[in-house]
Order: sequence, then C-alpha cells, then structure tokens
Amino acid sequence: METAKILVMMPMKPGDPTQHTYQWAQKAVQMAKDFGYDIKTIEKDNVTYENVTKSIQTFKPRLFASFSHGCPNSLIGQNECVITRKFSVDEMLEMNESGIPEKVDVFRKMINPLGGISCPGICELSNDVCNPLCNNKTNIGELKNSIIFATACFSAKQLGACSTKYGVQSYIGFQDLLMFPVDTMNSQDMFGEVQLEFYKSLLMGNTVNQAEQDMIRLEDKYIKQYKPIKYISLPMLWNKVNRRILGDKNASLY
Amino acid sequence: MVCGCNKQAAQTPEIKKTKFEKLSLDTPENTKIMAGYAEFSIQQLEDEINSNSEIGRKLKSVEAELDKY
Repeated sequence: METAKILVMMPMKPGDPTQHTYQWAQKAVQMAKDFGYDIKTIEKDNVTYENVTKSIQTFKPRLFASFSHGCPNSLIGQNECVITRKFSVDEMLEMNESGIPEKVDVFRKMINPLGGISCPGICELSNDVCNPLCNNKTNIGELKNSIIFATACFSAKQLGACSTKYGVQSYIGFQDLLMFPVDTMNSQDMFGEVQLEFYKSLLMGNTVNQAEQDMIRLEDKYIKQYKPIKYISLPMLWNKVNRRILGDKNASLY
Repeated sequence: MVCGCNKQAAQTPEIKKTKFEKLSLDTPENTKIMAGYAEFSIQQLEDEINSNSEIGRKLKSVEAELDKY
C-alpha cells in the first residue's frame, strides 16, 4: 500500500499570528516524518498561488494541512490567496439579492468577515488580508479526494462548504476567527497542542470523527482546567464553538 | 384511601455563572490575543465584549457557554 502523502502549507511573517502557527506547523511536519509519511512542505515566501497549485497537482496529497490566515472563500499564503473558490461579481450580487438568509449571510461574511466591531475595541485593523476578495482562479478542485485540515480563520464558512462540492472528501476548519493568547508563559502552545491533537489522530489512522473526539477531549480538559482564567478558557471555547467539520466524517488517511 | 404524594420540586442542577479569577495566565501587559490577522490587548477584547458590536455579542455568548463547564 502506498504511503499517504501529506502537504503542509506554512506561511510566516514575524509579529503576525502566523509567527506562532508556523511553529505549530513545524511540529506537524515532524510528527508526519516520525510516523513515516511522505511529506512535502511549502514555507514562507514560497507559499504563492502558483507554487501551491503546482505542488498539489504534482504531489497529489491525501492530506492538505494549512497553518495560515484564512478568509471565507480562501486560504491565504505569504502575500496572496492560494486556495480559493472564486466568486464572480454576478454570483456575489445574486447571493446578496437572493432574499435567502443563508446566502445573504455568506455574502456579508465574504465582504466583511468580522462583522460589526467597535471603537474602543478591536477597531484598529490593518493589513486586512480578506480585502479585496481573492481574485485568483478557483483551484479548490485540485484537492479533490483529499482531506483538508485548515488551522485558519473563516475558511469553513464558504471555501469549506464549496470544497465538498468540488470533490474534497472532508474539510476541517473554522467559520469565524481563530483566537489564541500569546504571552511569556507560552500559553499559545496549549492552543497549538489542541489543533495538533486532531492532526495526530488522523496520522494514527483514525477517522475524522474519531480525531474530532480526541480533540474535544483535550479541549474540554483545558477549558475546565483554565475556566477561572478568562483569556485562556474563552478563546479555547470560542475555537471549539466555531470549528466546522464538513463532508465525510468517516474519512481517514487510508 | 389517602393517596399521599410527596411531591418534590423537580431538581435541576444549578448552573453557576462563571467567575473569573484573573483575565490571563500571564500579566495582561505581557499578553496579546491573536485573532485573525491582527493582535489585540486584553483591554481591547474587554472593550469589544462590553460594546454591542456583532463580535462583542458573539464573545459574550461564548462566555455564557463557559458556565456549563
């Protein structure tokens, strides 16, 4: 039996949340090597639309793991969207004018993923990676028959939902922000550990469903343990609430 | 025949509102919250929760869910 192939996408910018998700990705890569998987990585400045698309086409991964930024209809590489289901202006208008609450909600999420925010609050936003919308050609179909594991914001909202229509077997991601604290006590490591619990379970040959249960067990343990500490338990539960598992929950690497 | 029904009020476990002992594991000054493509201070997130913004309401709703743990 051929060894399953794993492709890991890991952009990184210092001072950006990807500085930390990159470290999680490094652990993911080592884990896959330790398990004896055939693994390929695309890192930092190499995470371009062209490189990612070509790598998928030639390497044909069974598992595509993205530790990156995300938007409702794309995953973001170092400086551009790299995995996407592109929506035309006509499609966007049709969604907005459909009168169907679900479609209107997706339209609004794509235009303004955060929704209403306040000042004082988190109003100081710069480098909005989701604006303008991704203009690269749809390439989510290149991941047909694969499992996508996206440690990234928002992408389960539309990209994940579309992906199964394009033949992706299972999509694991988030429909809203992914949040985690960073401090001198390395609280972020706990959050990375939770993400990697799912990933590790898949590497061990478990189904997506079993991997989710393994992740939930660890999440709940941390939520209970750190319940009295607001900005550990709150983001941990926020991530749990906003995680989405789409497609075939019985999917496994083999 | 006396039918004695010793009725007891249905007992449901009381869900206590979460009381936070502290805001963060480290000091708030040493803590940043990564959210999306930016980082925020504890105070910024607190201001957001206390506002009536969309994300503030969502955060409040998740905070209420913590009561079940």
